[in-house]
Amino acid sequence: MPSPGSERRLDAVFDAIADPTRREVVERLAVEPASASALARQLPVSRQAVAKHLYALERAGLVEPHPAGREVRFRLTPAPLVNVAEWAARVGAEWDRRLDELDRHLKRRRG
Amino acid sequence: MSVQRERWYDADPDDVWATVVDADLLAEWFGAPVALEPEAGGRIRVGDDERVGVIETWSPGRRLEWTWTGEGSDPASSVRIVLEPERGGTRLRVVEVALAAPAFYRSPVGFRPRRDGEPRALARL
Repeated sequence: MPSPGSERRLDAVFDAIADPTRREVVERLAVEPASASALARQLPVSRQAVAKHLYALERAGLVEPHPAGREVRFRLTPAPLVNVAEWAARVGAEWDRRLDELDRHLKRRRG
Repeated sequence: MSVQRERWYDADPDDVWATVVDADLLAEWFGAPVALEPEAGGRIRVGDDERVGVIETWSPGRRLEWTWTGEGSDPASSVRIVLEPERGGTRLRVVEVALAAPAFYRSPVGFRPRRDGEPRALARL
């Protein structure tokens, strides 16, 4: 039975990825925080469009603004989550295992 | 922060696709029964919602993408699986991208929508 918490998380993620530009914004902020202007320079949309996406992501609780000198930068919330090396090692090993499992299933399927 | 793997399989893309989205394989992949709504915008749920996500792309025989919401100390991440015919078989490429800023310390939270009024957890050093 889905919990209210997981439904909220799903709605938040759905908001983030419903639009491909918004998803692109999230992926770029995952690399490093950026201002609306900086993002607009990297994407084929206007600064105004980027600002609207950032606002929607902020309302969904996915990004937060923070002042950086004279500009406002956005970053993913909450702030840093994981140790890169640990995450990459774990997820890499998981995919190695899964791709092996897929191979076994395909061979069984061929009979 | 992303991880990429690829493999060539001696099967055509439609067979690889059918096997990937098969309930038995997904249960092995994620360690519990997996329910998924086979369309863009559909939900993917592992076990008793141990992990939940939203499917972004559902292109049978070609591309499957979804985003996990993040759970406990697991950051949210997007998974992209692309299938291409190659040498009579299929080249599968998978990329998983963490939707989180890298750091040297851990925080026990995933996404925290503001509207539920919960206090934001502090990152632990």
